[in-house]
Amino acid sequence: MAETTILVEDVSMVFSTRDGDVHALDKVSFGAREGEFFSILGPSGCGKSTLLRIIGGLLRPTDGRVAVNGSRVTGPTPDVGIVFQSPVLMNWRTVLENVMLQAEVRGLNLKEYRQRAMGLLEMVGLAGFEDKYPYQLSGGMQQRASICRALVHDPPLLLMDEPFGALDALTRERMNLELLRIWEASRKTVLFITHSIPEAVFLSDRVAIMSPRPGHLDEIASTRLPRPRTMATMEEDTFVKTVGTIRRSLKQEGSID
Amino acid sequence: MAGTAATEILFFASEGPMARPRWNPEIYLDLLYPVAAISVFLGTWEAYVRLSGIPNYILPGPSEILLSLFEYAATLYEHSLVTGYEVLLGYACSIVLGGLFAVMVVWSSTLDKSLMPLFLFSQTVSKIAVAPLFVVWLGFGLAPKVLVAFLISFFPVFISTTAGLKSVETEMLELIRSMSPSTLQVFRKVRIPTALPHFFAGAKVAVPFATVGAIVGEWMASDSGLGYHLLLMQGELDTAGLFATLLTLSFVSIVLYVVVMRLERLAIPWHVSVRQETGLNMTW
Amino acid sequence: MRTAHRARPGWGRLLTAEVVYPAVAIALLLTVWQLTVVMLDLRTTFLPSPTAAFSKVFRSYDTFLTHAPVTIFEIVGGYALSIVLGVATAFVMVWSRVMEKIVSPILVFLQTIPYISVAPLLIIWFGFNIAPKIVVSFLMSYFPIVVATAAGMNAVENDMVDMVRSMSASKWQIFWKSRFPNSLPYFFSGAKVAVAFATSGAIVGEYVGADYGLGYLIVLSNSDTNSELLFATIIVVSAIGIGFFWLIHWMEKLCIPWHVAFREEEGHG
Ligand SMILES: Nc1ncnc2c1ncn2[C@@H]1O[C@H](COP(=O)(O)OP(=O)(O)OP(=O)(O)O)[C@@H](O)[C@H]1O
Ligand SMILES: [Mg+2]
Repeated sequence: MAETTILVEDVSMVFSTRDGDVHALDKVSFGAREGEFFSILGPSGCGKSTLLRIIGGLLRPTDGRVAVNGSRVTGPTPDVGIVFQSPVLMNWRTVLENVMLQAEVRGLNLKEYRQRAMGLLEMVGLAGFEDKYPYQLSGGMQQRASICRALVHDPPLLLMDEPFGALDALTRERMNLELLRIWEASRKTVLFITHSIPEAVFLSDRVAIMSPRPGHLDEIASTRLPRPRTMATMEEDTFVKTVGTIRRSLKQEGSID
Repeated sequence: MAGTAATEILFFASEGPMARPRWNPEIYLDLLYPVAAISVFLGTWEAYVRLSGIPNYILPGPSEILLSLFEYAATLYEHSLVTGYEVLLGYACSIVLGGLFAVMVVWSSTLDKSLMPLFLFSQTVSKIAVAPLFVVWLGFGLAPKVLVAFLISFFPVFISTTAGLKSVETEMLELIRSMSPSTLQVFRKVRIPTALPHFFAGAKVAVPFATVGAIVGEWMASDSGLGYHLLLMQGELDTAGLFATLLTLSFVSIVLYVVVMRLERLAIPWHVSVRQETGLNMTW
Repeated sequence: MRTAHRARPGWGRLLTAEVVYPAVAIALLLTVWQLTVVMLDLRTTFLPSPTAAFSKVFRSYDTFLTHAPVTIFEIVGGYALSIVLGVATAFVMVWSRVMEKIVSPILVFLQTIPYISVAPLLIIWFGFNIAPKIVVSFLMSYFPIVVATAAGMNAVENDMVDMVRSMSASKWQIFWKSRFPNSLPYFFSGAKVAVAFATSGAIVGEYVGADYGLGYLIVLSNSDTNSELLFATIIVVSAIGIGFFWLIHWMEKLCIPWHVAFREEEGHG
């Protein structure tokens, strides 16, 4: 029954700037099924963040169409949680208040969601930092707070733009496992953008590979790894092979030397 | 600030690719809005004055003010030379000394510690309140007006230039220091270029200040200048003439402002954004 | 007030920078001034000594009690008006693109006008009462507030606006949750500049025509060559200016404790 939750058809994006046009995306097409963990891999500047913004309804593509849950995207997609590439925390709000922004704006029951927010903060290792201001946190801690903000309203669709880029290797691994745990429990549709091939393979059902600018999506690889996945998954043959295959495709694209 | 405004920009405003030619008709379209608004305002004003029969010593219509402007043209010209000279001298002193003191204060921390409190203290004394003193001390000539114009316009230049010179990022400073430069080189290569936008922001803010200073100086004691003419017109209840003088005065101020804006474009073409150009930026 | 009790290691240094140095500098200045007057045996009409000027403040306290409240009232009136109308103008400009296109270019030119010069006109319109002083005070302090507040409302990062939009926020929510709080530090810096302007506006309004107020007192003592009274009045005007400044500064600390300026200072090389 796996329905297509995200449908992207021939999406192109051209930014017109003072000194000429920038072709960020070139006829990108793909679909992500309901409950699927879908990753996008690509070199810096190939238009990954742009694509995510378009799917979130924050940016209108110059060409092509995008549908989420069967309805065409014409404005900010409802019921979505977005983790942006930078934490974008409000420096006039404490960590908890930043997370609760989501509930406030959506008009949810604040008391109830406050409990949830505290639980999430604890899960990402920010217990005790609820009342700190963002400037009192490290970059990685800020990013973890912004992940809680995207999760607090339990959205069925999660868009994540390199959420763990600012974290150290160990925290990153832990966050990967936590993310998988949340995902297995709730089976959200996740669109995950990353630079790290092993991370993409470890987390995803399918991995899409983008070419350098203008971004074009030419290959989608299924990982075919059993779930639930643990640290041990990373040592399996299939895992190592898949990582190798994807690395080779990226190399062919000219994305890595 | 034009362009960064509301959210629509991000969404759907960028419909399709749009080549940007050097000559952009949009700019002229943008001018239409304020011109239309001002025309409506002037039209309503004129109509109100004509229909209500309000005495013209209370409120003359725009047309009458225009006539008065022609009538007094020669007088206003002469007075604006006097005031313009005072403003220019006071303003020039502010620019030179404001810039110089800023460099000194940033150059040497001893000077910073000893001069800065004095400057900040002097800031708490209302210069406008002190203006009459200068007449007592310096008499009725040019000097007190220039001094008041200078004192009022000095601080914005000084403080924003200081802020600019200090706003160099630590990494940039470390980078240049790794090349073992002289202090002069640090200033010439890094600090001064970084400070220029701030300096110009302060210089633009200082323009009306200098004008205000000259006028207040003239009000204390003088027999020429636009400030003097303003009081003359008030005494004669010639309100149209008063408006004409106000216009001339604003013109002097705006000309100086535009000159500074042009100089800014020449000096820092790499920085002039639309927001800067509208002058709606404050660095202090 | 609770947040104000957070530990602040840089506090001692801040105290030195903000209190001790200026205090020493001012003390030095006053000493030099006093010595100059005494040594050169200057006439009081030319330059009174600081002790004479300060003691005059107390000797003539009943004069100041009559005149100072009038000026303070004018300042508060003009300043309050410019805060209300200034913030409203900034809001309208940020809210509507059309309004921004209309108002913003006009504002650029309006703010270069030396507003003090409308005082004579206002005296014709309103007479010798307090109204023209309030208007001049308002005109002088209005523009810094509009300019700073609008700049602050516009200075929100695009990412921030996008983030709030992704929460299905209404236009009003985007403004209230992101643009408004973001503009507060800008607003306060504009408000601090504006309070000095409001003071100058009220004083100059009184120069041009008044029977009461500190500006009137300045003109009076000037024409009587009563330098002692002139200096005493300058002291009172300055004290009022400083008082207002600190009031705004204190409110700023209360409203935006999260702002960079109030965080612990880290050493800047
Ligand atoms: N608002 C914009 N205006 C003009 N050009 C833009 C804009 N946003 C993005 N671009 C351009 O589009 C291209 C793609 O940008 P995008 O941020 O999507 O890259 P990315 O794949 O997310 O890169 P990274 O991995 O470094 O985050 C870049 O070349 C960028 O310069
Ligand atoms: Mg990106």
